[in-house]
Amino acid sequence: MAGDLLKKLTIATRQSPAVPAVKQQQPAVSGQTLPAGQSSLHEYKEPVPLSAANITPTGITPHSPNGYLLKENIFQSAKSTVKSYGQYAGYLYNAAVKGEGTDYSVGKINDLTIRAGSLGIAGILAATKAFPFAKGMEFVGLTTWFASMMVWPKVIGKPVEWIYGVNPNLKYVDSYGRRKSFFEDPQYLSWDLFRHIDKNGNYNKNAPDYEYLNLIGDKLGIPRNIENRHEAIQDKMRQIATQTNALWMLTAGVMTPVISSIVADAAQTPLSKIIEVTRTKKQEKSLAALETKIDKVLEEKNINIDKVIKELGIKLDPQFEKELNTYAKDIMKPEEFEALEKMIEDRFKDTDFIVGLKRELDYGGILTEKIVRFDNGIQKELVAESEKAVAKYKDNIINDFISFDKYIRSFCAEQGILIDDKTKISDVYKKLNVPKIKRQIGCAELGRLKAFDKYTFKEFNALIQNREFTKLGFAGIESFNGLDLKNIDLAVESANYRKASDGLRGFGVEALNVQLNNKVHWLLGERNAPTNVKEDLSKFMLEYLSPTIDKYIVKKLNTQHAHKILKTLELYKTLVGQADEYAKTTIKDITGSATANSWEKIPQKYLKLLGFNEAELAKLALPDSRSASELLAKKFESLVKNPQEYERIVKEMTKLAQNAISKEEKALVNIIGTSEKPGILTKIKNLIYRITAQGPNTGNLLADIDTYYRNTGLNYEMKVKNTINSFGRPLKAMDTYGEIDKIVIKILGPNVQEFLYRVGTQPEKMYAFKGFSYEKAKEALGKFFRKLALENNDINNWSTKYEAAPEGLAQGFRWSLDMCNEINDFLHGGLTKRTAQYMPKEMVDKFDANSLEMGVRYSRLESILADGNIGNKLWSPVEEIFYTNIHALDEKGKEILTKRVEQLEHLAESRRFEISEEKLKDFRKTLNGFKKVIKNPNQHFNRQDAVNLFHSAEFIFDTNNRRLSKQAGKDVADFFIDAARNTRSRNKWTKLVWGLFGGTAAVSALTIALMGKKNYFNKDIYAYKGGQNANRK
Amino acid sequence: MVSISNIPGIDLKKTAVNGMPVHPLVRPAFGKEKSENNENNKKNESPVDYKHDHIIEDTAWNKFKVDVEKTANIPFVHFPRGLGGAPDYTFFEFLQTAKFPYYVGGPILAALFYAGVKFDNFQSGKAAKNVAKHMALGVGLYYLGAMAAKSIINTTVKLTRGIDLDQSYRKIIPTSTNQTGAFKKDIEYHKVFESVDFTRWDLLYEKGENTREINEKYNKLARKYGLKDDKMSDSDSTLKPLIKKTIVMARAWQYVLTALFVSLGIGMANQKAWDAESFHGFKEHIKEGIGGEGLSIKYRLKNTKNLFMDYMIKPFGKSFAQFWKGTDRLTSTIGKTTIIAAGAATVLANLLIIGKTSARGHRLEKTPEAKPSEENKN
Repeated sequence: MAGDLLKKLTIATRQSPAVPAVKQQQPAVSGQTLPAGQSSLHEYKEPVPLSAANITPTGITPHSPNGYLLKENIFQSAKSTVKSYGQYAGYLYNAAVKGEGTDYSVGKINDLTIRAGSLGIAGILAATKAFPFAKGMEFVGLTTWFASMMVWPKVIGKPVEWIYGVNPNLKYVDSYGRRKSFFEDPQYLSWDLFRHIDKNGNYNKNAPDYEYLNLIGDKLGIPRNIENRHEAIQDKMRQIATQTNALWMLTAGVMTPVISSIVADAAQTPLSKIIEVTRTKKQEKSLAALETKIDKVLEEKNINIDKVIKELGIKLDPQFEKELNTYAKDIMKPEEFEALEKMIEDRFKDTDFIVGLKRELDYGGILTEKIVRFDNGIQKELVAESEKAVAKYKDNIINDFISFDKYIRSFCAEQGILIDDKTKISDVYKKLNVPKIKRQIGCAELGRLKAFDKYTFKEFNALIQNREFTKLGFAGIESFNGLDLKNIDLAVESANYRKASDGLRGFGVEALNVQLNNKVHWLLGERNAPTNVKEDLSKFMLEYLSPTIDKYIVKKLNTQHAHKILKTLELYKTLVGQADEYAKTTIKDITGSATANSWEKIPQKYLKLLGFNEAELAKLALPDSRSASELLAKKFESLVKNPQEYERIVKEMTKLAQNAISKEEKALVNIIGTSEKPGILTKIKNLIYRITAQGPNTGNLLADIDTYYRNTGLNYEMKVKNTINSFGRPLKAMDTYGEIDKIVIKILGPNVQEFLYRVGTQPEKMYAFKGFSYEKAKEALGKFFRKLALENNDINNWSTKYEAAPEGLAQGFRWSLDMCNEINDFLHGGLTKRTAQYMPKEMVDKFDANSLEMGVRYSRLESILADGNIGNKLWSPVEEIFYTNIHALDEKGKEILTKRVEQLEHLAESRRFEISEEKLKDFRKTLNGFKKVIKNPNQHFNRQDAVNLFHSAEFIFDTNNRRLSKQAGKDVADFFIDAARNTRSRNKWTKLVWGLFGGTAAVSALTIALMGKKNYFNKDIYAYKGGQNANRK
Repeated sequence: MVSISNIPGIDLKKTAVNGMPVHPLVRPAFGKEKSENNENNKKNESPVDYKHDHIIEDTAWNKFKVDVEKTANIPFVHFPRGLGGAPDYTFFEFLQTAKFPYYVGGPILAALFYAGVKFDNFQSGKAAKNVAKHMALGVGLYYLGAMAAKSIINTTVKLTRGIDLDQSYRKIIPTSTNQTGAFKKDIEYHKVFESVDFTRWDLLYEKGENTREINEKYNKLARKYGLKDDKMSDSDSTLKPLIKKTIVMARAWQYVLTALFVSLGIGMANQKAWDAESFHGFKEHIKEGIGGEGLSIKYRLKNTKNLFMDYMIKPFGKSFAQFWKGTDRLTSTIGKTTIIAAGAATVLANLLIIGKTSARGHRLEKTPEAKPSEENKN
């Protein structure tokens, strides 16, 4: 193209071949201008050779270059990167608004927006996550992502620098002060910057030229005696830098996510711990502050709801305030009231006081029935309407007859029947299915009457009467023209539903209807109207009046009271919500809570502690729990035989369990408190109770408030018991495995003779073993216990777990109460010394008490079998000892008895949300009496009180499925199955991630090892000094 | 002075466009017919024939082919050359290889997350699968957002200023230094407007007898830029700074919009609309409705259309609405902010680009007929 242009320029054709084109341009260089087309007038001048003297513009000097190589460590580099973002924002402004920029600055804008966009993404993701941990992880992910993106080139750059002396991440600052990567563009490398770098890599003007570069050359093995050694070194450096950059790009796609995942994963545990601790502390603090305020309000006996809210520093939901303010009127239309009810249902769903609240509002000012607001207006209107109704009714009758008459006449005319022919007309009526009353008139009289359309109702009626058809006619209604004011008043008086004090006369719609109906009936009765007519007319009249009545229907709200109650309950909800926030960070099954974190990690630690190998883990993770159960059984049996290992595992496991349980117990104590020190939930209830109790008829609502309190507390308690049972059961199972042989012998007898003796003499208890050999019975029973210790704890098996026939036997134990009790006692009894000796007493008591409670709660089967309850079973030995042997008890006996009493205490307390407070107090009093008697046998003790108490219905511990399923805890087998699955999927992930990491790292290492070698692209041909020709290295 | 025009026996008119080099991996995509016509001249070709960069005709097919070739070159040319440390390795090649981690990193991250899902437990497996799905979708919508941001600005600039930022040209690389067999590189596909500092103005000149012919493209652009004069003699010099401005602003806004649009994409990907619940019957739809036996083509097409409607367009629209609405105050604020910011930035970008790059008010040097006195006023 350029060539074409040259050809076409006139100047090219004119010039003589001897004068080159460049010379032709000469005058332009020296500043003269020629008007176009006037070149022929130009005078030729001798060409002046180009030199600095004649091409350097005078008065301007070039900038002396002041770029330099950067020496920064990773932190300095990160710092200056962050710092430069401010500068980049300037670039962005200039480019986006003014349109000014260079390739460099525009490129930097990209860096800036990528970082900003990523922050935005992390922010959006964090906001959409419901849980603080997930929110945090978004930012951790972002940070690790960018960090690994930044770190990876440095990671591959370092070994390259160590091996070859070339730093591929070298940065420099150019003459404009811009930080750039030295090797980014291999075609434009600022080698000059190496000129005065000394052997230590520092700028030193006095150092020999390219001293540092030469050193690198030595490290690279570039021969010393070659021509243009600098260039050879530079080429090699460029080669290595290019190779490193390519390697970086090849591996970054894998390494960035992999490193990011590894680091983020490692950060999870500390992050979740930090978040858990911070949140819990924050919640504890705010809960404590709230408690102090509640205490103060309770002390002051303040019952003004607004003041209480203010004093507690609570801000009720603004939406609620807004909603409440829409119900400021005393009189409400029905749809407004429905909206209020809907509001109550929506706002207080998940609470137990909706029904109570609605009733409270009803009795406190809102009528359940629709009422009619009465005044002169409606009365007059009703009088007028009733007149219209009667007139209309009469018209209808006449119209009816007229049309009927017309129809019959035309029909008869058509059929050629004479209207006087009674027989025939009668047939016609029958055929046409004419109603009886009309038929009678018609049959009897029609033929003799004129056409109806000429009659008024009066005439019509008179006609009928005159013809002695009174019984068929409408006697009574012709003189009835509707209700008058007096009638209405009377109806209203007898229908009055309630007169409110503010002058409103309210009437139930139904009641009014009844009264109006009665009135019409009575009035017509007075006029001897036939019954069917009376009914017909009054029905018609009520229908006719109903639109008028509807216009006056209202509901009345005791605004002040309603507002107070609603506010109180909203406050209740809010306060319970605040306590619940604490529960959410601790005991509730919500991602990021203490319990969730425990469940995430501790079961896997249990599993690790037991030491399963990869194959065993795979077997554990199978969907069928049988294989897991077998594996665990084997493990526990071998553990029992190895006391040292047993000790270690029990100790470690207890620690882990303690860790999980203690957090939750602390939270539970803070929320529901203990018998001596009520928790915040109880205080909240007391406060709300006190404010609510001031209103009229609040009994139902108070009961509901109490129910809500009990249900909330019970839920928390069950959850914590679930944790205790779940984490304690593996220990209990291990303990059980050491005792199985003993219990089997205890049940079956130590030898064949004893076994046969028992089967023979105790058929009710031993029926299941009848016909089986001793050995077989032993084996079957042992298996049965092994299985029970690990499985069948879930609610599906709970009530039937002793019923199914054990493997190897033909029947279960369902028909023997003694046997069931024995099995139950064994499975839910306390830990034996074998295990308990390695555990803190507090933990042993805790596990034992909860295990016992579950055993006691397992009473459905026994309830069916025996007409009694488990409470008696506990009570009986206590009773026996107290009244027969208390004086004879030695220290050990006392200790055992004390423990029994403590267990009873636990059982009593476990019913605190189920029984009345008075009853609970009685329990406590009695049990304290026991304790005192144990200490001092001479202490007075009212035996009958205790007997009555323990035999009362409140001490029956059979329970519903909900409670069992929530509290029972996890099956041992399921516990380990889940743990194994989690461990395995984690292992799988770890293998994958580290595999990718290792593979990529290996590829990188190999590539780095091969860098800088002579290859396809780099032939490494050097011209040696001193006449040696090119020689291959 | 040696110029191409001086070399005897070369007809530039023919070779400038026709003499396409044959790429070792991807067969020549351009000027095929012409090169067939040129069969007779083959004997006369020499390496210098190729040394003309030239613009690739702007068709969708060509663009697609360029994209394919460029993508194929990443693993087959640029990586091998880079790993070998080719002496003539360019910054362009480095940037090409940088696309690899860009497209590989996100999916791998999503895949790693997916690998951590506990499938043994149905409940948690389902939940985590959903999260992983959102993540994969997020990666997809991320790229989609980035593409959208780019194309919005490209479209504006193309429609209002006639500048196609995506306009590729073949840059001929001197092959004398890199005859390295399979990894030989003799072409790079660059964008005409990729550089602000070194914009390829030369490619926009036409051959011609006079300035009007030579500046034909510039003249066309000038009208797009709002210059109404009929006789422009130096539209190129007037336009060059404006085009530079256009490039700078377009690039800057592309980056800004990318940040906003990818945020929008990620935000939308995290909405309930994409949960498994919205994808009931997806597999059946494909299996029975589209792949089922004995169905008419019309029915299959209809079902395919429905598939896109029900499982892509609708969830897309729904997720947008859900992102806007949010689930609580915070998410709703964030959703609205992101959407409004993306929308507002798009409008602002277009207004600024159109407003600031206009040449209205600029006056041009007229062609020689114009009176000198008028010229001086400018």
